[in-house]
Amino acid sequence: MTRTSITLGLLLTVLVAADAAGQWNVARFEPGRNRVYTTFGMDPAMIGSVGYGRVVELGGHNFQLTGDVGAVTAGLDSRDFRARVGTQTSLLEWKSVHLTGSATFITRGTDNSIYRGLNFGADLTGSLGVYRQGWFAAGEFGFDKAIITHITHSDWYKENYYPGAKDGWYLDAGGTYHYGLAGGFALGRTEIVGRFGLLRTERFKELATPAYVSLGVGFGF
Amino acid sequence: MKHMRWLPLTLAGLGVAGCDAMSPSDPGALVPRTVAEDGSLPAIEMNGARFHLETMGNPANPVIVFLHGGPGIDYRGLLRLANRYNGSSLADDHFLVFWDQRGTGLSARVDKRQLTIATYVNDLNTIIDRYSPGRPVFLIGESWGGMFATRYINDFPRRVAGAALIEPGPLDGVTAERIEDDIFDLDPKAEWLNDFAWSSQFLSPDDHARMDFERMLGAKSSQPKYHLDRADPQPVWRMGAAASKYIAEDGQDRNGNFNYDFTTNLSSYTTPVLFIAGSLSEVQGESLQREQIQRYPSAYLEVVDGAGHDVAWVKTAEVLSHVRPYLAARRGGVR
Repeated sequence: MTRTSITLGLLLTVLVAADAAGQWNVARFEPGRNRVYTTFGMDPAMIGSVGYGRVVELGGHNFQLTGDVGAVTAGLDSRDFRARVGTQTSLLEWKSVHLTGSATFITRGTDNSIYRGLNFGADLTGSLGVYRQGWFAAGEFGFDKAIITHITHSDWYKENYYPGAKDGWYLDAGGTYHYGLAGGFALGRTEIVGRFGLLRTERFKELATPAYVSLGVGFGF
Repeated sequence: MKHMRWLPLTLAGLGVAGCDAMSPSDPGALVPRTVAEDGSLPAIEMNGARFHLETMGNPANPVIVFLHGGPGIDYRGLLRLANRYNGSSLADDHFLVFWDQRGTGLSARVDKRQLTIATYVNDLNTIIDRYSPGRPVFLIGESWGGMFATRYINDFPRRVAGAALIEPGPLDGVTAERIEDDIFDLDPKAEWLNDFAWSSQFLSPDDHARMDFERMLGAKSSQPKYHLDRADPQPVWRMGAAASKYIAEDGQDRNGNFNYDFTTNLSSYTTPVLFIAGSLSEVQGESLQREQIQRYPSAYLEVVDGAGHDVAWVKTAEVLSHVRPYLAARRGGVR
């Protein structure tokens, strides 16, 4: 592996931005391979998502490009949604040990009792672990940044609590670190992955949901 | 590439939005300005902090100090108790003192080291010294305010001429541990809980304004057993998230179990105490208050029909119909 290809991989990972929930087995990335998948878990609310991925080769690396959409499942609330486009690749490898990187561009929406929000953000996640054809296990660390957020306060909030609340775009309104373990195994063309770990704010404060856990099932073709 | 024409337009739009964007920490953006940020608000300085406070009535009359709920809420939801009903107001023959406790409502935010129950008791002592020097006062406390009043009576029984406690929370840690699970709806499928969790990706609670705003997410439906009125919700100016967290923690041991006891000296307080409960309230309603009146040597309970925990807001006239005769019977001892 050359320094050029490592740098290219890092750059692309950062620029294209990755899929926090899509920690798939990089040892199984083969150019032209497609995957449809679904994930479900507490991340940070109860959310289910469906997506599609395709592996492409670029600069000596296999990148899995993914796109998925999800909605918070409590009450099947489609107003609380997430759409993500990202990529994951192996940045470094030694035998079966891989350092992977993923980057995801995220659009999120929410509509709750006090505001309606639309948010554009990005997640960068790295993982280090053993990746073999039949299974993988890794530790992961990532940062999900809410870059810019539009907030419209609800009539209920304005009428009953604070008429002066300001609607509009907010910069730098949030960020979340996530760190934990990811693992999975393959059964034929089906891959099952799981992740769990802890969540902290960007100032490392506790969140209402202090942990995340999710399960994903992918079918390759 | 024709299909990509939208991309630069979108990026340019986001760029313009970014240039014009606010910060969630901007004073007054998400939650109202406090007295530290708005000099036009009524305020006093005491014990090294700035408090939002207003008074009504003749200072020569017996003083009523109002203690709001929470911890971490504010006195906005008690203001109807000063209104005129059936031709009279408590302010006609009392001097009313409404204040937002340290770090709550429109009072200034303070360092967490100042958010202790002992500091709160000291603040109340200072208010009584200031507005009723040498004379005992009446306390009207709602929810946490009823607990706070009890703690104060426990410490300074001679400074309190009487107390009306509206749905006070648990007066000791054992009771708090028993009812704790009923206070919030913590069903993982509860929509408010998922909204709360999901919102952390939009506004992570990294500063006071965002923490306080986040707390409002639970205002509408997090406490179904309290039967709060949604059409006419009891208002607050600001949920003081830090005050709520640290005052509660001050009543807990290292393992997070409530271990406080505000009743150790109540046997010395023989003045009758009025308890009021809403008939719909399940957690801090009639059942709990029938237990809690036993902690005082002389206390009685009045139940107001058709109201939940927010009985003081939605059934104010009925609450005052119990408070007024209670105060009238004890006013002679104050003059």
